[in-house]
Amino acid sequence: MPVTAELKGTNRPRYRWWRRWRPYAYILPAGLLLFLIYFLPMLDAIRYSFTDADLVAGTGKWVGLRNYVDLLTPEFGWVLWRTLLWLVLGVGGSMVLGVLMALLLDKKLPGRALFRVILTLPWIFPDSIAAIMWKFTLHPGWGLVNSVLVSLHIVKEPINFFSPETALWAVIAIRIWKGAPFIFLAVLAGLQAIPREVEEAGCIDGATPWQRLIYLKLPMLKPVLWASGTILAAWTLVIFDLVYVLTAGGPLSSTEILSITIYDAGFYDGHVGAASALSMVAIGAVSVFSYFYVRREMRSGLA
Amino acid sequence: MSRYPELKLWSAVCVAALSVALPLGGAQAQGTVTLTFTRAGDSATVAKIFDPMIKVFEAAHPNVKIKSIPMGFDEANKRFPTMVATGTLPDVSLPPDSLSASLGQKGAFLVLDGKLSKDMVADIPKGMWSAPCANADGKTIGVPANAGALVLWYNVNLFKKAGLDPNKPPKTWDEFIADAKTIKEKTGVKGALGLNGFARNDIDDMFGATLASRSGGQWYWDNKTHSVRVDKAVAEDLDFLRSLVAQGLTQPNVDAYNRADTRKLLRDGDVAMTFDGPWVIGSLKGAADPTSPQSPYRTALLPSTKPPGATSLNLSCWNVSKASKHPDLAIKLVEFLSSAKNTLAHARGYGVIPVRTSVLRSDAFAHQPWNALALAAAGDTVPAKPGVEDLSLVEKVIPGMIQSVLLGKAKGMEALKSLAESQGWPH
Repeated sequence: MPVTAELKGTNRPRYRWWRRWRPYAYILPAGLLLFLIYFLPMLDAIRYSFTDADLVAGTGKWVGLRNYVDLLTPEFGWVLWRTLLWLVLGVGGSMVLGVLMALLLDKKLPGRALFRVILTLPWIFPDSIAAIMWKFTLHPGWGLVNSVLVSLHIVKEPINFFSPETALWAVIAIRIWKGAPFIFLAVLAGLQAIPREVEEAGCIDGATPWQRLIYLKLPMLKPVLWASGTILAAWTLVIFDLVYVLTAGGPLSSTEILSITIYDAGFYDGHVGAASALSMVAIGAVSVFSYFYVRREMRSGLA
Repeated sequence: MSRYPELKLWSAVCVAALSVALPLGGAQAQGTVTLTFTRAGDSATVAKIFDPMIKVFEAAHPNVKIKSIPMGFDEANKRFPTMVATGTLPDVSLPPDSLSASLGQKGAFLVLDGKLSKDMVADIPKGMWSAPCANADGKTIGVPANAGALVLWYNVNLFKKAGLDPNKPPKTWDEFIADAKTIKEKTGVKGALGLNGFARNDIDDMFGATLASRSGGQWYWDNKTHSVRVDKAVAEDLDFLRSLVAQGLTQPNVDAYNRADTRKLLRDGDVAMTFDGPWVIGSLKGAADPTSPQSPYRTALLPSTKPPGATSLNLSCWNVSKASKHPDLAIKLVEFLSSAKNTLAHARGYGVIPVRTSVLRSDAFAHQPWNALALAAAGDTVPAKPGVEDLSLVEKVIPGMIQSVLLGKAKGMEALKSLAESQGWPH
């Protein structure tokens, strides 16, 4: 049959219907799988958040908004405040340090390859291992950091880095140590994608290194910074094991962030309903980042 | 001819296979019973102790297979609640004590009243049967399996260095404070007492033991109101612990140390004394065998207001799952594991105190450091942790309250009242 005749045939009404719906039919199996794996458990969690579901007792009575109303306490307000600090400082610090590391190692320095490997190492460590390592390193009794500080007479007595006053800053610092390599890798790749001619043009125009960074490099790195920062923020918000192994949320709840509260409600108390309501708060927050990320990606035509 | 000859062939093979396999499977199901078993803890040690016992039980019951599920303490805390929810809790288990109590309160375990042999019941000290892992609302839900009584561990060399007689450890709290001050002054140690102030479950044991020995065997949980006791005695004992920290008699930064850390301090000679149980033995073995007569580490009963005083007892129990399909066999297994011989093997292998009086009083436990531990376990004891439904109360909320006092953030009474208010308890 000639090709024109074949094409003509597909213009019949029943073929038009098929042509319109055929792409959806192709993605239907994958869509169903996605629904089963991602959305069904989430829908179930939403349902649980309106019940008094208990992991052990097996109850599951409808309680309406009670689990959400129960969250309206000053204690939970503090949890949210700490989570915000953890997020803003943890991500902000990681980005500043990651960008600095990338700018430094974008230059031709002796041993650059070795430094790049060393600086990426923290990212490779599993959170729980990193937490144990830092717990030992910063311990006031036998930690390396205190031994050095005391032996160099920088401090008289060992510092308790995990005291109620300092523990949150300590865990945020460890988060920065862990998160910065991701930004470093992303920004380094971004810097290397900037054409050399751009910087050369800046030099010819008499721009100082600082001006070249602010007016040339950073604007060109904006998409990379935006994407990596958003991903890092979503990761940071749901981190659990790093904080749990380091401090278990203490002392005196000073490092209790949202993920720890969810864990305690679900596993220690067995209150699946309450834990689900808390998870909805976390999902809501992560969704904000996801929304901005996806919107930007779509605008830039990548999605 | 058929359009699908291959399909017909495969169907025939499947039907034949099923007709052979189903009766065989049925025969196996009818003949052999599988019981699941978990002793939470270090898997290698558990296997070393219990695999031989399981073989003996299986030999005596040819139709029973025991499937052992290895599980660490933390893992058990996470997995057990899910296992209860899905009906897959091991037929026989020994969970961590506070988890056992919490699941027992929620009705996850079989009630054992009238189902246990009288000899075994009589051979276990009466007080142990009222522990939270063995008793929920007056019903027996577990069989005591092993204990950890808190006693005073002390370093003989540091006592000598301070000019104190190591054969006369402090018997009263006044003597304890006087000795602690002398040790601190004359030896230059980090602290006379290693105190675990990290706010997780073992801080409960430490405070429970202090309270029991100072105020006379009462603990801070009120079974009638299901709340903490908010009274003068509890508040004063909290303040007493704070005073030890404030006077510099403990190591600095107590909140950074859990009980494993204070063991390390004792082992390394950084502190002269600590309140701990039989588990110290395992931590010290690298430094010196604590069971040797020349060992620098010894035990004594806790100082007391009226010696001999009381102490707190960590008790772990054998529990039978309420969902067990073979409860009678599961109970048989529990009785077998609780026999005097197996109790002794469990105690020696794992470094815990046996619960059967006949074993406790045997020669095996008449020497240092076991003698004080055995004496304390058989004496006036209170449960180290309360039997509450919400595990986080024991693992986090109450520890947080004790820690706040140790760090001087609140006075004893303030902390108690604040805790009661946050939980909506009467006070």
